[in-house]
Amino acid sequence: MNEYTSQILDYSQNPPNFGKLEECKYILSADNPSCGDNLTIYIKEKNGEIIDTSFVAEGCAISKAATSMLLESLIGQPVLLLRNIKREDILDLLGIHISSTREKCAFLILDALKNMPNE
Amino acid sequence: MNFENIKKDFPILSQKVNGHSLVYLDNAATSQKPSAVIDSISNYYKTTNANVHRGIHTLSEQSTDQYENTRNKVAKFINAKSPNEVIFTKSTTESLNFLANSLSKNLKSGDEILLTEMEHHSNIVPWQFIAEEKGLVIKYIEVNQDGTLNLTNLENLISKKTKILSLTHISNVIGQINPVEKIIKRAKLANLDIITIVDVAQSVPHMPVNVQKLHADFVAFSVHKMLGPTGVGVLWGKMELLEKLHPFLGGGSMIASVTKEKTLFAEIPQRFEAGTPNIAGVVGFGTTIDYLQKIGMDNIYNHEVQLTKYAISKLKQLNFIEIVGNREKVGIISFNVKGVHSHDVSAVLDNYGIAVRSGHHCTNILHNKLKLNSTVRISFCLYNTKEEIDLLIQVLQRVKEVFK
Repeated sequence: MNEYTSQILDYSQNPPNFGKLEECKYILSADNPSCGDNLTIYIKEKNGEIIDTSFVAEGCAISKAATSMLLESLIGQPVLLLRNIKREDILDLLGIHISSTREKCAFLILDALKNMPNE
Repeated sequence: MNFENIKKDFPILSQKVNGHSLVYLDNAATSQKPSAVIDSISNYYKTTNANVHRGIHTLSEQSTDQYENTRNKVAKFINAKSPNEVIFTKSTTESLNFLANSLSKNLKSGDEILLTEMEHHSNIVPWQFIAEEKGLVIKYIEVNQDGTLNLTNLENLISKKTKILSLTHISNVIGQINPVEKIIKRAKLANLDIITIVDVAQSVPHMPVNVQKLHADFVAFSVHKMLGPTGVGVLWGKMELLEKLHPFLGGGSMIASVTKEKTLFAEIPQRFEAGTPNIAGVVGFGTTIDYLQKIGMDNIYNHEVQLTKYAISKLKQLNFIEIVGNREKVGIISFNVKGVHSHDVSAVLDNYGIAVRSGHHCTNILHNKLKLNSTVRISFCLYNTKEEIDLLIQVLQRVKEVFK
């Protein structure tokens, strides 16, 4: 049961950043049709810096924990970073082995970030 | 019939997964294969391999005989009037795409197709393709919360415009037998010209299916869900209707003559089997039918109904389990653990060597209708046991402890 660490269970069951944010610059969505999961992330910025993040999702523990942890880590980072987030960044945060069948869950937020508008 | 020793026939089941004896409960996705079937495929390649219906040489004749011998066995197995009514495809999906493509040649804008909300995507998407191309209208028989079809208004869904009714015998999620004989009779009474198709992919592995008794015009199924190899499917159709069908695939084997101007087609069934078929798979399917008949489809049905009843009674003792559909089921049970996503349930079960399916099982429309994001599905085969269900129940209790 290595994947369900207390940290992942905490983040998935009580994500500190779950919910919608008002007056966001970025509201990005993605879904995972093969499991019926869906995700919307909210990113607030000021002067090119990410000042707040949140998300609303239906999904498994891995997808919710990955989303919550990554969004939390982004606060205080430059908005430009959003285009350069890699799978490794999420794996580092999760700190567990992700099997090929769970990749879609862990990396769902990357699909949402791909929908960043070109500016 | 003693089902205790059947597991020994399936070499894959003796292995350990994640340190635990494998408990394989994902049979509705694909079943495991007995040694007899694996050996027959291997022997075919070792001793017989040659193309069918072509060469005038000994191996080609033997290969053709074995291939056609399976067709004869299939015809008896499903009670077709003639082996020529049995067409080999690669899957249920291909059989249904074949029908959608070929039947649509006679349809015109405004014609209607009737499906149900519990169909697998393979019995929805091909019809959507042709509906878009031809301007057809697709209507759906609704699903009730108890997992049955809402048939009270069936006649209202059928008019002179309704050309095709295509529905599943057993839903791959709900696991309840639909009364297809009655539905087909009522549909034909409402409009005698309706062509009726039954997807028996989830029934033919678990119970005797008699195509003449179903009164369907066509049935489709896959071999890999009934202990046979992957890559072989069957389309059965009434000969008088097959004769009206345009071939789905063109190419070798399906022709009588080809000139620059025109092709004359071969006789049925060759007409519908263009290209080199999955010969080894079909030969293996012949052995599969022998294996199933040795055990007896009635025995298999009784065994799986008993297992299903046992599993439901045990699941109902857990107050955190919500089962989809509450009528009698055959071999398939979908459920959710309250507050836990199906992926997480199946991941924990996998840690204990228990293989189940999670997700929406290619039935988006059904899941939306029943307001389900996803479900966990367990599905049985003749080699499953009550002890395996007891293990499942134990680990489900563990799931609830992890995600408290």
